[in-house]
Amino acid sequence: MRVPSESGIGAARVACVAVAVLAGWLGVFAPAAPALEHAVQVGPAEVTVFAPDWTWQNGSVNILVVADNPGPEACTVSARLDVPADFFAYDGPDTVELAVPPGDTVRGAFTNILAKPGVPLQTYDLEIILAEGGREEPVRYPLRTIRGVAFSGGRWVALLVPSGTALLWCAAFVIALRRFSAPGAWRASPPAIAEQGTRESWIDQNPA
Amino acid sequence: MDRSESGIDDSASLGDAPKPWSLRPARLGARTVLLLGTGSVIASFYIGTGDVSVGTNMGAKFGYGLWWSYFVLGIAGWALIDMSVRYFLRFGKTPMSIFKDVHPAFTVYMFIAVVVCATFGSYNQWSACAMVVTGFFPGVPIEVGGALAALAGLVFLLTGAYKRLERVFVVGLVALIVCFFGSAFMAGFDWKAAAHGLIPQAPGKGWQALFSNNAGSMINAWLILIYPYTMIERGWFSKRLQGKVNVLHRARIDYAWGILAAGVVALPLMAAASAIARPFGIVPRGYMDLSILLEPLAGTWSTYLFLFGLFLAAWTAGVGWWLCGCYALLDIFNLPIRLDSKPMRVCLVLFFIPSTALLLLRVNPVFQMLIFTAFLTLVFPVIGFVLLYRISRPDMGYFRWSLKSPQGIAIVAADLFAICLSVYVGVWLGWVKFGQVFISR
Repeated sequence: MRVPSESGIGAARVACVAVAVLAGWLGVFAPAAPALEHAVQVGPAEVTVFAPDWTWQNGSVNILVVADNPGPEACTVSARLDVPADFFAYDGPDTVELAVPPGDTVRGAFTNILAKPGVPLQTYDLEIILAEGGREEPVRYPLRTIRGVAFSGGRWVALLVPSGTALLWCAAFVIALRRFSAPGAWRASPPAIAEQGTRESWIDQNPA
Repeated sequence: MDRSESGIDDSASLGDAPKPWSLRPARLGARTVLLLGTGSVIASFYIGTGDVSVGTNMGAKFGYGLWWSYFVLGIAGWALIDMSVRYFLRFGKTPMSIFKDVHPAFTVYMFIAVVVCATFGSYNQWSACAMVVTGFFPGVPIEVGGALAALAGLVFLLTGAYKRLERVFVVGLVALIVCFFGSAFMAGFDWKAAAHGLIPQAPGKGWQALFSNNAGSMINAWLILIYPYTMIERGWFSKRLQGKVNVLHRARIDYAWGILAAGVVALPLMAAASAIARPFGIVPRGYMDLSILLEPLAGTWSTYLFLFGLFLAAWTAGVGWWLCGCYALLDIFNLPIRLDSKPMRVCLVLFFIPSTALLLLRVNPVFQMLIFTAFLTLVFPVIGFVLLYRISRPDMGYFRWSLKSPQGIAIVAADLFAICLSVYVGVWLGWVKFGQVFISR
């Protein structure tokens, strides 16, 4: 009977090589995560808007606004969110003010913008209007709703449907495993495991 | 390993038997201690989307304030695995025998728990894998992405031997740790806050819910019983008492590493969520959303590393759920515990079908996982009581409870702590609080 060999230091070496290879592959071939990443100069600050470019119905997204001020003086950048209210629910602030000290970076966010359930699956145009010192720069944010849950019902769907399905599927396991096992095996405690003829050497060692 | 008709007798007569916990194990070399084998398989059960979902939520709400919960719950998890291993070494019998010996009704309970939890658990993992794929290719339906990940797991198990499985899991575990830590280092670590997070504390309102979720993930229903199956696959068993002591010592290091890995992996997840989500009050409900938030702070590579680590964690956990579910079912039907056997392959296919079909539900996997970890806490109390009943009996021989030595006292204390904590979490936080979630719609 075979004695399984240990994995460990050798496998760790393999792991390092594998990670390096995968990292290289990722660096060369992996696409960028589909998301909005739009940088625009607003007064003295460079402002970048980050957001996912798709969501599910009844799923929420967050928009991150990052203002970087390399200049010698402080500035205040405001970001105003324009969301089509018929299709998205949002109860946060419409405007976020970012006071950026010189040489510093400040982040702000619009959080929990919810794609309403039942809305058409299409691309919606949201907009973030950035402003500083009377100057405005609009950032168009196309957001695609791609699909929603198959059934509504929230927690009940999340729990009862999978567990109920699995419960019903128990019958398949009973039918299949009874073909391999002795009658009444599920009730009877099995005999004890036998010791292997060949074992790893440390098992049989005595302490010094 | 074959089953034997002769019983295991490590204490031929009570008069000759060494006192409980009096023997020293043979010294293990440093190289042996570093061998990560089965510990990585154990770690795969703990480090999946449950660990990621709970860890990121903890970081987003409380920073590092609940890091301590991994190690407190880890003690309980360790003790519960230890109970099943001691039973196996004492009697040479597999974990499901514990339930069969008490009453067949518990066997039925375990059968249902195994099928439901393994199906539900693996489905969650394939769903998370699918979300990562969809994150890069939104045109790929989640059903397709998840099914492909599941199919890869099925092919891997159908064609594998246990030895190869351990190697792959070691590689996967090291890779995902590197990925998550790499991602978090780019986002920024607050080491002082992390150290403070090791002190048990109530970090803010609502911490109990996440603690309960974490308990469901760490104590993990019936998965605490599966280590003996890996011992059978590896031939870790002896009729000699000294051999049993050596095996127990080695095994303890193994599952300590596995459980510790869950706490270690939680740290970069908390760090990342604390840095990118907490300042805005964002509670992560999507892996893609979280990874996008990483990018402005830590760069594109941070996003890649996070998503890759997530995929690895989910995939290995999905494979782990199937593996352990199959082992437990083989045990219930007294079939050989072997990865490369026909009943095992049939069970794997039977798990594949519903766990991929459930992808059609298209439920957010973060939300799904939090629900599932709470569900797991419901399953455990019965298992805990049965374990306690069995392990506390004097016929455990050398491995019985004993208050006559420091090690014996420590073991009793750990066992009782594990059972009490599991029952508290399972009965109070599980049945009561979980029930309230559904009753108060």
